[in-house]
Order: sequence, then C-alpha cells, then structure tokens
Amino acid sequence: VRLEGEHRFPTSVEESYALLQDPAALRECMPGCERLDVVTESRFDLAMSVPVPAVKGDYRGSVEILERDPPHAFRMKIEASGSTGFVNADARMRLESVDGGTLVRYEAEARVGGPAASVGQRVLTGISRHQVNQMMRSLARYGAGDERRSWWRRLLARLGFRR
Amino acid sequence: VVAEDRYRAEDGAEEVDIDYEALPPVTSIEAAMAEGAPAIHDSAPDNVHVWFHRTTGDVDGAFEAADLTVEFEMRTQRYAAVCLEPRASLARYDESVDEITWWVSSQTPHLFRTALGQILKMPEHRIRVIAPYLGGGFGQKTLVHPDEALIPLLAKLLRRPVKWTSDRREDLHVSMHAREQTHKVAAAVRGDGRVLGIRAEIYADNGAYSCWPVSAALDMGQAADNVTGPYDIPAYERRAYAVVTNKAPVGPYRGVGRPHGCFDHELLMDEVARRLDMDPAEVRFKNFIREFPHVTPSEFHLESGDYVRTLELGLEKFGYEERRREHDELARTGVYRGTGIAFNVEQSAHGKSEWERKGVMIAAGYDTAEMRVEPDGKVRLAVGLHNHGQGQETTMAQIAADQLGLEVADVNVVFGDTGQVPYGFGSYSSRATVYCGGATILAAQDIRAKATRIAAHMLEANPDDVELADGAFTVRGSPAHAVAWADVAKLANHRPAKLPPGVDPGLDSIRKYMAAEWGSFANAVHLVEVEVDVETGVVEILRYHVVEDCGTVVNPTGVEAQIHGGIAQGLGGAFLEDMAYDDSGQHIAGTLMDYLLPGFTEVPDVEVHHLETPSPINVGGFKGMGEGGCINVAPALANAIRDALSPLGDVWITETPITPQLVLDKLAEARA
Repeated sequence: VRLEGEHRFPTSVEESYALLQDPAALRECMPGCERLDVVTESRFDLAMSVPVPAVKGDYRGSVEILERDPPHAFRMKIEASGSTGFVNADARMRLESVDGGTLVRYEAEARVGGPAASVGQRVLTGISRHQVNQMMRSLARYGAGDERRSWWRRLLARLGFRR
Repeated sequence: VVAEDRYRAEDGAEEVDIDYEALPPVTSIEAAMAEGAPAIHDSAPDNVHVWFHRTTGDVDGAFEAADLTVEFEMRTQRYAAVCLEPRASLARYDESVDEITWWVSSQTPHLFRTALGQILKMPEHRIRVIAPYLGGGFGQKTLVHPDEALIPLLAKLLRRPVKWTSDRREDLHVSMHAREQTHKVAAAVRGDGRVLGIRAEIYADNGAYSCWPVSAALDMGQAADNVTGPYDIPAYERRAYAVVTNKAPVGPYRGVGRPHGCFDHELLMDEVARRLDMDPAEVRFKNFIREFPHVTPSEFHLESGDYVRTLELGLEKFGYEERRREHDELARTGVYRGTGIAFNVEQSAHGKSEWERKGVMIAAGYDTAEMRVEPDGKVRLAVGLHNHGQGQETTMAQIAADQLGLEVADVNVVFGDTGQVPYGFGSYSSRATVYCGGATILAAQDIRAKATRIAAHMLEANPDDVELADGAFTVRGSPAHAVAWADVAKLANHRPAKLPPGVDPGLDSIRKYMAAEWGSFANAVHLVEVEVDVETGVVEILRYHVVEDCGTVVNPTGVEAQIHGGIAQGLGGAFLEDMAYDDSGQHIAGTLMDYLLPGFTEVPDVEVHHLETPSPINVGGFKGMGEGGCINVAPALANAIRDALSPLGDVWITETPITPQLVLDKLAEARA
C-alpha cells in the first residue's frame, strides 16, 4: 500500500516536529493505540488494536525514528504483527512553515501480510488512508490544545476510560 | 492446536507466535528462471522440479517448408478448484484392534489409504478410508494434503477421535492450486492453411512443492501432450518445465493441462485463418485428423471419432453462416458481435501404458466391480470409482440394469469406503464410466450367464433357448413358460440342493477391467457468440452451443450436466478467477470476494448436441467426458472477442483472465 498526503498543523514547525515524535501525543492520537513505551529516545514499543473488520486484531511492534533533520524532516518505521498478520510501514515526513502553521507532507509505503492481507485486500488501502488521516487530524488537534480533542475522546476521558 | 471445540482451538492458535526469517521471495516463472535467482530447494538449484525435451517428426524440415510462421505467447493465471465443500478430515483410532478409520474428502479412498499407511507406518489392512459424498472434487481431492493427513496421526497419538474442517480462507490459501502456465508457441504453416509443425516451450508455475501421487510433472506434461489437439500435425517439438516458486503447490484441476493445449491449438487455428484470409472453420477442416486409429506426436492413440462431423453439426446447430453475416451488418451500426470456435480432443480414462509413459508410480490402469445378487433378486454393485457429484451411481445402476433386464432402482451402487468396496482408484481423469462401466458389464455378463443356466434348469429347457428380459426368464417361443428373476436369485442363494449339478451357489462376480492401454479419446466443439461493449470492455455471451462425442452415452442428462458445470468453471477461469499473490509472495485472494467465482447470472444457457462414435476398444464403447466442459471455454471466448472486434483492429487476447480492462487495453493497442 502506498500512501501520501499532507496535513496542516496550527503549531509552528518546531512544535509540530516535536509533536510528531512525542510518545505521549502518538499514544493519544494513533487510532487503536493501547500502549506506547519509550525504549530509547528514537524507539518505542507499541501495542495497538485495530477494530476494522477483515483486519481486526491486536498488533504488537515498534516505532523507530530515523534520519532526523529537525525541524524539516524525519523518517518513521513501524513494524507490528499480531494473530491476523503483520504491517511494516516506512514513512518519510517533511515539514514546512506556512502562514504561521506547518504543512506536514508524508509519503509512506506499507506492506501488509498474513491473513489480514489475504482477506482484506479490497479494504486495505482505504483503511490505511483512514487511519493515517485520523492520526494526523488528532495530532493537529492535540497540538492545538486538549480542548480541541474530539467529543468522544473527551467523553471517554470524563468517564474515566483511557485518560 | 487440538482442543475440545473449535472456539478453544482458534483461541489457542492465536497464541502461537511464529518468528519467520524472511528470505528473498520468488513469485513468478520469470523470476524463478532468471539468472542468479535464489534457489528455493537445494535439490533444485535452477528452480525446476521436472523438465523434459522431446521431438517427434522432422520439425526443422517443417519450418523450412513453411510459407508462414505463427508465433505467440499464451498465459493462464493461477486458479483453483474451489470446491463448494472445502476439505475435511476425521479420524478414529481403535486401540483394541489397532485400526484407524479415516473419513476424508477424497476422490480416491484406496490411494489415500496407501498414503496414510506410509505416513503412519501402519499396514493398509488396518486402515479403513471412508469418503462419503463430497461437495466437489475436481482433481484437487485426489491429492493427499499434509493438513488432512495430520488428523489420523493426532487421533492415534491422542487415542481420541479428531476432526478438522478447512475454512474458506485456508481452502483458498493451501488447497492445491492449478493452471498457472506460460507457453511460447511457434507453428510452421503452409499457404493452404495446413499446419506442418509446432515448437512449444511450456512453463508451469508449480509452487513450492510437488504433490502426491501425480507429482509436479502432470500439469506441464499433460499440457505439452495436448498442443496438437485434433489436428494432423506430424512434427512437434516440446520443452516443458515445472518451475518452483514460493507459492502454494499446484496439482491437477479438471482439465489438467488440456485447457492449455486447447488454448494453444485453437488460438493457432484462428491466427492461421486471419493471416491467410480463410474462414476459421475452414482452417480446422483442413487440418483435422480424418483416419482412425491415429497416433499423435505425443503418442495419443486416438481410437475413433469423426471430427469433421462434430464441427459440421456444430456449425449447423449454431447457425454459423447466418451469425457471421448478421455480425458484419451489426458492426456497421456500432454493435460488435463475434463467433468463436474451440475444438478439443479429450484425453480420458488414461490407460496402463499411458500412466507408465508419464512415469506415474501408481497407474490407475484398471478398476473393479463387485456385483452380488441378493436372495430377493436386488443387486448390490460395489465399485472402485468415487461419486462426487457426477451421478455415477445412476450411470452404473443403468449399465447393470440394462445387462440384467432389471429396473435402475433394483441396483444399489456402493462406493467410497475401502471397507465395503473392491480395490479401485476412484474417479479422476474422466475414467469412471470407462473403467467401472466396463467392469460392471463383465460382472453382469458372468451373472447373467449363470442365472440363465439356473433358470434353464428350473424350466427344464436348454440354456441356449432361455431369454432374459423385464425381470423374467422365458423359453424362446413359449412365453408362458417363464420363471421370475427373483425366483432364480432365491434358489441360487437359499436352495442349493435345487441347483443344477456342478453349479456353485450364489450369484456374484468380481471383475477387473483394464481399458484401452493408452486411454480413450472423446471430442467436442464449443461455439460461442459474444457481444463486446467497446466502452466498458465487458463481454456478454449471447449463444453457446456444444457438440460432444463421448462414444456410447449412458445418461444424456448426466453428460449434459457435466458439460454445463464444466463450462461454468471454464468461464470462471476465462473471465474472473485469479489466485493472486503480491510481489512479496503474499497470497491476496483469501475470500470469495477477492477470488471471484461465476454465479448463475454469469453462466449462459448452453445447448448440448450429442454424437456417438463408440469406442471400438472399450467394453461398452464408452469414452470419458468429465473434464471437456471446462477445456474449450477460454479459447472459444478469446476467438469470439477477436472476431467481434475485428472491424476495429486485431484484438488478439492470448491470456486469461480476460478482464474488461484487458479487453480495453488490447483494443486501445489495436487501434493505435
């Protein structure tokens, strides 16, 4: 699966650069993320649950940040596997200051394998795009401040789930 | 993971974490044969399981004498049987008698018993294999798959019955795939349309392993044997390779190599017609084998047939001339319709010498019928064939009833249980009616002769004067002087003192029948009319006619049903089905939404016309025809599409699946 796109962040390029690598922000904003533990400053362990039919399941793996060029670019490698298959993603992020905010451009190549790939072919690209868009939107909101979190996140937080 | 119910087993399986070390994948014929390709098995450093190179006749001479040469590359995708009922296995071990009973979806119960004996190191007489009705076999269920064979092993280890049923994803993933081949064909053609010789390079993507018992050699070998088809082509050179790739293994699937051979010779005929501006039917008439018996360059001993008549009848029933005139007129209004012909000789009932020639170590060159007349006159017929939807119980009962002057309902046909039937090879390679039909006739003749002798004794007549018809023996010329079949059966079984001197009690016979040593060759032509939508590339089938000649027809409805089902499968392969992998070797057709099968809306009405040229070398005159339906479909459609689009350019499709996109791409190429 090949993905590319761009998102506008309200934060400055330096803040956005930090945000995109911030374990706390990623933990909050990555859809289905259940655990994100810092192993080193450029490597996190990851546990996530994907609720989408056909690729539904629990995945464990790691996030690695490489080729840092603050605050303009970095590369992020995600490897996760679970009972329903595995995902290896390699994403290149480029940041650019625009109108007081930041334009984040990404190009990613994701390889999905195992049962998830054999039964989920038709929906994989759609699901991946959706997950990435959701993460980027959430990160942008997270950067702008908690009050702009989605209503259901806030509801869950009030009810004592997650955080 | 073995558990008490499926839920626990699935949960347990989820906990299994396998750490794979990924090696560079080899996922196509080209990649496997490329210089420096990684070797998948140390034993096959060139990634070739099996290969052969054979030449018959003067091929160089044929090409020198040719007025033109035709060359093309034919490709068929990987697809599979996809039985309605995926494979299943259930085993019970009885410790007290050291016996395994194995219920398994198998077309060949006795061969599965041999395999299990070798796997468990158990003697065969301690194994009983029961293969009940199957929801489809299509060759896939002649193969012993590792997963199903594991179940009896577990039952023995655990001392408990163990069951496993493949789900659809597993079935698509590992039940033996089929068909993926590439052929490079060159033909030497004379100016009058006669094909003088063929050179073919044949490559089959056999996946990572061979299969048991027929091996990786079968698919490519049978394809290589069938390239000359019904045509008298004296010179033929073939190089065939079974190539290893990192994909699921490939095994026989209805047609086995014959769809590829047919695709080759039928594309060739239409290309010759186009190049020489001849009618496609005329080119076929020009090249048909006309005298029988005939031995082809591939050593097919064609025993009989009338190919000219088959095609003539097809053209007449289809309305070939009118259709073609109509199509020319319609093309002027922007409606693109065309006709396609595909003729095939169906190699069936491979005989003992044919299997030996192929190098197969288990040669299904005979089969067995065990017939017993019960004391009430009803007949128990146990046969070595396996019925998995073909209606063989009816066919065999008809043959027996005909021989014994009884009703079909008087015969009970037993099959599919090594504890109940005599030794046999099950059903595959369109062999059941030829072998078990022949054996049934022989057994019935024994019984009829003996029953006639007993009846004559009861009637105090000369056996030569006694006739059997409609359930009674009568003395010729005095119909009132009669004894019922049931009374003869009762006496034979229950009143031994009343038997004629020297006659043993009972009415039974076990007969083996070893059919024609090279097999038997049926033939059929498919004629199809299509309309191609040049905006969308969608091909609609408007008319489909088949003329088949499988020798003596026992049950016309059964024959037609075989053809209808075969055509549905052929259409699946021609248009829809694709067992796709991505570049990394990931299988990506894991559901029936990704792997598209034809439904009833895609399958056209098919008109079947029968011709009967009985086999002169088989008892009963039967020829096998179980696979033919699916063999001719793709070439008939490719030829029809080419014909339909001919006013716009030459749209020559030499590959499957013929998707709307492929039609559009080829059309754009032809227009450019």
